[in-house]
Amino acid sequence: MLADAQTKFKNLVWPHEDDPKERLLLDPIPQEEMNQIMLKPMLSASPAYWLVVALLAGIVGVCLFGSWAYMIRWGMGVAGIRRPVGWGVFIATFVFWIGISHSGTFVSAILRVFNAEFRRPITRAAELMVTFSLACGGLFPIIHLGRMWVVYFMVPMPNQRQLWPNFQSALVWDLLAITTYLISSTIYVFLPMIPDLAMARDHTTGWRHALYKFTSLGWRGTEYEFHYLHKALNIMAFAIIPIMFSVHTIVSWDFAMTQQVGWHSSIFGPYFVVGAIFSGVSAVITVLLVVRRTMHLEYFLRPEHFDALAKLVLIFSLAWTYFFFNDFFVEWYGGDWAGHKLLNFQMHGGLAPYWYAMLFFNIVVPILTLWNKRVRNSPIALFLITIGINIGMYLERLVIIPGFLQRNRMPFNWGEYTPQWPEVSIAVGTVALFILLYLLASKVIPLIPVWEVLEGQLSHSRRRIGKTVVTSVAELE
Amino acid sequence: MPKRMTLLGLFNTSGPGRPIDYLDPVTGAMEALRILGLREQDMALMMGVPYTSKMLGRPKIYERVPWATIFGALAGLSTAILLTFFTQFHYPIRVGGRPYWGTAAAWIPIFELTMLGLVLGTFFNFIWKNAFPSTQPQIYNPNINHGRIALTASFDARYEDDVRRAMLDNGAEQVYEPEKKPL
Repeated sequence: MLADAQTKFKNLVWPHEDDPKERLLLDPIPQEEMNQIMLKPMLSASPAYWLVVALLAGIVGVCLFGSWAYMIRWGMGVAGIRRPVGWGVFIATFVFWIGISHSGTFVSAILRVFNAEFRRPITRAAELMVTFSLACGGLFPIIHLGRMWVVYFMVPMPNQRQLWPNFQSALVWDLLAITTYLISSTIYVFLPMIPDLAMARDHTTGWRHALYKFTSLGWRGTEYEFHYLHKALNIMAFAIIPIMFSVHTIVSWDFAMTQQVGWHSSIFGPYFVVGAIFSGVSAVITVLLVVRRTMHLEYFLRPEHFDALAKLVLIFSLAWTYFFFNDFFVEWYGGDWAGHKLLNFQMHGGLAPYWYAMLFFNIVVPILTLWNKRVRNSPIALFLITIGINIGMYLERLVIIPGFLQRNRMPFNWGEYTPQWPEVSIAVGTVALFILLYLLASKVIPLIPVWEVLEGQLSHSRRRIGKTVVTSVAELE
Repeated sequence: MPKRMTLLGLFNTSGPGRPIDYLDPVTGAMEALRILGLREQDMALMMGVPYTSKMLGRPKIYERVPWATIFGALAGLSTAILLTFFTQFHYPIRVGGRPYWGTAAAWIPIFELTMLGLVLGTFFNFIWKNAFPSTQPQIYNPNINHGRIALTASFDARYEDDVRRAMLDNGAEQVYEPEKKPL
């Protein structure tokens, strides 16, 4: 009997939970094949693509720049901002875009620092979102000026009237923080792109070859070039994380540093940062789902990546819920009459539909769905959930910014805010601008860092331990 | 002065079972070249995959703290201190209830501009160390993006046959005298 049992179990191999070939880093293919998968959608464009580009360009031209021109001509009065609501849809949309920009830094820098290997194919697509969302968000302080030709007043340069910006103002901190983040993230997206631009240089002719030759800076793939690149990326990854945290903290201080009811809260810094990462990672999933489908990048973007990102979204949903509850509960328990009026306005007054919708999209939907692996592996479900999250996060900014301004400590100064068509039009225009920039970039910039995927495949292998075969990851540096 | 020449050998990194990690031919060639008397600095590699120096059997590239990064950070710090304190000295802005020189408030521009300087310093360090942008004709073989690794050896021209044989015996697909061309 013992001999029978020993024979029965001798050759038993624990069934694999999944096929190793389902994982990108365990499914190597020849380098040139990878290059072609990446280059093929870049170098060709269907009529549908150009139709969408034309449509988006039209929306940007009419909704964004046309409405902006209308507002410059007729004055800021055509917008809905009145006393006491001095900041409305423009500032809410500005904060929304700055929040989306946290996507790339989190996915690229933080996951690089923690050696999360699943980040490899998704970093560049996420980092590009940073640049484009900052470009969209950065328009709003200029739009909101009204007289945009005096924007140079914000720049600290010697002038005849000896005027300098007030460096103790949260708005000037905003300018410094966003400029720093924009420059840093642009450098951080460009540096690891150089080897892929060199690969594109070697595979193209004509204007593309000239463009990639210029932007690849003469990269040849020598040992020293890769060494200095790794060194620069390691420093940048560590440096850009505190910059990322500081940006949205400083944006939150635009509100928290005031005496406005509901704004003057010490929780705003981390609350906004967590909310930004929450909406940013959700936006990454949305964008990657579309990119995977339209550019046929199924080899690079696998269910494992969306599964990992969806788990992150669930974690940040829980974190956001914690900070939201913190902010709400302290106000509720504190008993301040103005705070209570504001809470009443949110729960039972004019803000109620937006407030409950925000909670539904940000808390109920993610927590009830993303724990389930089938949902995380369903592209349609993930697409709808992440769009919902970003709607919820936009509603959060609407509730906090123009919503809270409608109530203050002087009841005679309470007001109602209704966004006017130029505000809505400009906000819609920036969404179209973001998508348009991304579409145009997808035909010029390699969206997948092939060299990083190859590096990851180099470090992954399978080895037998006991009765099973496990994945082994080597430290390469 | 003996005439020096350069040969480029192209090695396939595809081996049994895996497409990119077969480095035995190129490491074997480098070992053979070392036996012939070539120094490490006489050999250079070009690759499309970032193999480490350990994998390639090359000496580790050491670099002390990148000074440009530190100088950039210091430049940013100096700029921030100049802006936050000097401007108030030059033309004070009196905001009710606020000090002229608020140290706590100054920390934000100081942090942001220091980090900006650090990032720019890192970027310029990378550009400077690699001598980018490189517009001069270079020795290069685009097949490094096709699963190949290129080994260049610079040596006394009298030993051309030995070097060529060392590369070919170790599995080089192609050995030739490269020309410097625009990339």
